[in-house]
Amino acid sequence: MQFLIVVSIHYLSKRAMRKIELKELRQNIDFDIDYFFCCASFEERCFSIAQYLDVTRIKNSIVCYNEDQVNSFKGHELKLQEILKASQNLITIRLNSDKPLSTAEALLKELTAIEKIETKRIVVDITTFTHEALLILFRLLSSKKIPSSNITFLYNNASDYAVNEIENSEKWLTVGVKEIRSVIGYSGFMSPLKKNLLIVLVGFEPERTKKLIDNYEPHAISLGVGNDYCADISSAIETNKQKHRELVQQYPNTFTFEFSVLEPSEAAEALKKEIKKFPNYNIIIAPMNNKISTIGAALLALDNTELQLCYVPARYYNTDGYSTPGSKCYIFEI
Amino acid sequence: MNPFHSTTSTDELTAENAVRLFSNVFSEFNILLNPGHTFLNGARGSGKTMMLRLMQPDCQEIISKRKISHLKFLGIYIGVKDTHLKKTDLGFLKNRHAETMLNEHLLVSHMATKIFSQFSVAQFEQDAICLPQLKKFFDEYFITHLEDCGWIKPASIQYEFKTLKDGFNLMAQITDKILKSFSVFERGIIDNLEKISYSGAVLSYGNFLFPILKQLKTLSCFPQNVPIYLMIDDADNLNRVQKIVLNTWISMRHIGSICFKISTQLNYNQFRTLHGDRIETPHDYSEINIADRYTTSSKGFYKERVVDVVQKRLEFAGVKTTDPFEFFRPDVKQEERVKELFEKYKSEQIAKGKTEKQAYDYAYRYARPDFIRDELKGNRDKYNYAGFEQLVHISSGNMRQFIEPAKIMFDNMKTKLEEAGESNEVGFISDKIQDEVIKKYSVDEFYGEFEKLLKSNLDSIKDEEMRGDNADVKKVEELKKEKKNIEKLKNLIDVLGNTFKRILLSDVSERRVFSIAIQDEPNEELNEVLSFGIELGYFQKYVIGNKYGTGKAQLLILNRILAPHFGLDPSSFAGYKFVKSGELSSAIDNPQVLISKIRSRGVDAIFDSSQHSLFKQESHEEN
Repeated sequence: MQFLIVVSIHYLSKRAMRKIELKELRQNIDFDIDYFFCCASFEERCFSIAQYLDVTRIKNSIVCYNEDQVNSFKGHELKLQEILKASQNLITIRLNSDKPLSTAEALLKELTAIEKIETKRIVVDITTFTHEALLILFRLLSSKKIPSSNITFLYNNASDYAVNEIENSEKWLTVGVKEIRSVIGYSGFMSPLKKNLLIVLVGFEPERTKKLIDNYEPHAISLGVGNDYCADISSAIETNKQKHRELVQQYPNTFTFEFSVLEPSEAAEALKKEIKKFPNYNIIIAPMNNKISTIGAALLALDNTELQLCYVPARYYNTDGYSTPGSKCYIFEI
Repeated sequence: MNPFHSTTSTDELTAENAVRLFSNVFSEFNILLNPGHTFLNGARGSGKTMMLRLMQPDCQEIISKRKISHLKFLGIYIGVKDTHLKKTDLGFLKNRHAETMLNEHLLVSHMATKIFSQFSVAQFEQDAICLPQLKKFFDEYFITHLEDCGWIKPASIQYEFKTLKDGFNLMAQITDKILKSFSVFERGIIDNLEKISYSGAVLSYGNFLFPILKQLKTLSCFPQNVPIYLMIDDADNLNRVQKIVLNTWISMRHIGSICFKISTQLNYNQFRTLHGDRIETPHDYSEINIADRYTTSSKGFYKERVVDVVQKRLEFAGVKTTDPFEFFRPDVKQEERVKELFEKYKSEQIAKGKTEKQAYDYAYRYARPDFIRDELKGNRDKYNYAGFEQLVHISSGNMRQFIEPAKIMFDNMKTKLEEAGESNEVGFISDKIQDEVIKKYSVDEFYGEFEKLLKSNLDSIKDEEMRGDNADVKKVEELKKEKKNIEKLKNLIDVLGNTFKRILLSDVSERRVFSIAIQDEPNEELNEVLSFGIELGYFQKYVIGNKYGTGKAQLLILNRILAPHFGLDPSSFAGYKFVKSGELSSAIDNPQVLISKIRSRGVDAIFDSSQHSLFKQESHEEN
């Protein structure tokens, strides 16, 4: 029985999200890990979790990295490997943020090579995978019949975003849009007989959202805003809401809703509730907020295979000051 | 209601509203109506979808005042959204499993569903003959062809219908279900990469779509002996294989039965067919490039169109003032002064024995530039860009560049009225708000974004340099090249903007210059920078005769949205200067050298001193 597809999202909320201090991670992940997945990135957050784990209890550390972005990593990929070298086996996987097919194949190859994967204890640090790579990995894991209790997801919050800009109004994470593409494994069913509803889980990037809406020209738009925050500073929620308000003002007749950025199941529930309002629409969801809510979107998409998840890669990322690591770690199983 | 907000998708507009809102000043529209395959190319917002909407039967019935059975063609609208047909998962089929066949199946199933669903809402006259004809068609053609394509008719279902509408609806539901089955296959490709296997129905143009439509056309309720137009909107959003498949259909030239009307946002970069040859114009299709109409001839036409569109939007939103010139009021004081200069120059010219038209042209050419030069001393902040006329020029032939800032202006005006405790009914936009918005728009939408591109690229380079020996050499080279291109483009735009400003403030005879023509063939480096500029929308490129009349030259028109940023007269696109590519190559590397050369030796030392106009003669109608 596949662990995700068959589980109705109503049951998911029974497994509570745990929020701990990063330094307490060892006490909380107090078991032997067969496979630890993480992703090197230009964000320092890529090694926050690894450095607080008991690496000697990891049998296989799988360090993913986007080969097309490695120039912006400031050596993070080497540092991450250094941190994880005490694990019994260290594997690197080359992904490519411009080539989702290569990314999916690379991840699939690794997962397929794991014998009796359904018996393995897997931990995934979801913090710095791209949204797309994370969705693909999640999709692939979901098809491997792994008991849900055998996979633990970890997420390190950011203390702040766009830290190289002082003024809130100047803060930016990305510039431009390369394309809009469906995410592998979540292509949905787009009926020519239905109108299109674009749902965006709005994050810190209103410009990217605006370009997505302008390019897609959906019949209806629903812009979700986070109702809580996981950044260390509470002003993040207000900044986010302000950006959301500005977006909504630009698109009259836009529907709005709130979602959780701390509980995947709650994010999925919020999306499900929103979708119910549009029974005769093709649903396209762009998860553009944090990785926890992105998992929420994936959960719903696995439950409702007719909806589509899309990804909007940016032309440039604010690699210099995208985020700074927060002090918290979120732990959850699905 | 903000008249400049698009509250409804164009494809959702009722026929009455579409006809009411449509601005029929395009002669292209009439070309599009003619039989034959046509590519309609234009930037987003240039009105392509609206044209296609007007070609659907419900609109054509109103326009031509004829019943559907007497229309000259049947237009079916098929919009292509980014991720509806170009699904990432299909990329896995390449070299694995029937890539072409399955992409064609997806395309045909999608189109067939759209076609039948639009027939189901068309106002076909249902008489005693047509319904039995459709039933016969359904049993003997539709079902049979589907079965020939591998579709298995569900044994438990008896298909029946009592009206034409239900009949077409049923067919749409059946092809939609076929599409749905295919979507299950698509989603599962990733789970079966080693052994992709599709066993469902496979619909193709030759085996299904063409014969079905050809047969349908013989039904008595259909207009007889006229083609069906399959109007594919935003075909750029098809994947490479789907474009090749579509090209192959075009190459079949079935124009008596089916014509493809294909709109693109200038990114349809595939013209090969499955047989390896190319479709070419005018042999296989005709081509309409909307932007050409603004910059190459009939200057007044774009303004007419904006007048028409704005007027209709204001009417539709119930705004009392529907005259665009009244609604977007200019800075009265400024315009009165320009007008005084205009009248003065005109009288002087007539006194010198010039004809009325010559005097008018002279006054038009010099009044505003002289005002900017002599009275404002070229101060960008003092010049007011308000007024419908100027906003039209600034929008550079792209309707969206007019509508977007207009939308912000309307909202700002409304807020201002509310804050002042006045009625929030917007009757006009103050010149101050227009000027503020358009200046900010000029910087934000173009120059600001450009600066961000440069900044983020510089950050990436800096990151890489910190990696020392671990750097990805190839990637570094690419990044540095990209950085250079961004810098060079910025330099080029700076040089051109400043040069055009210098020309505007100079004593030369044509001071309203916004374009350059390159005298000789640019080198690869310059070409790359120019292409990058075109891709980002800073330039429009055209080909004109060279100054010697012996060949062709590239003409580059700077986007006039940059006029407020550089303090230029936005109406000044008529003139252009020839320049040697070597000067531009030096400008992209070191703008200061060229700028100081121009400063010390004058514009004419670098740019060809003779005057050229995109248009033979200034026209009274334009002004």
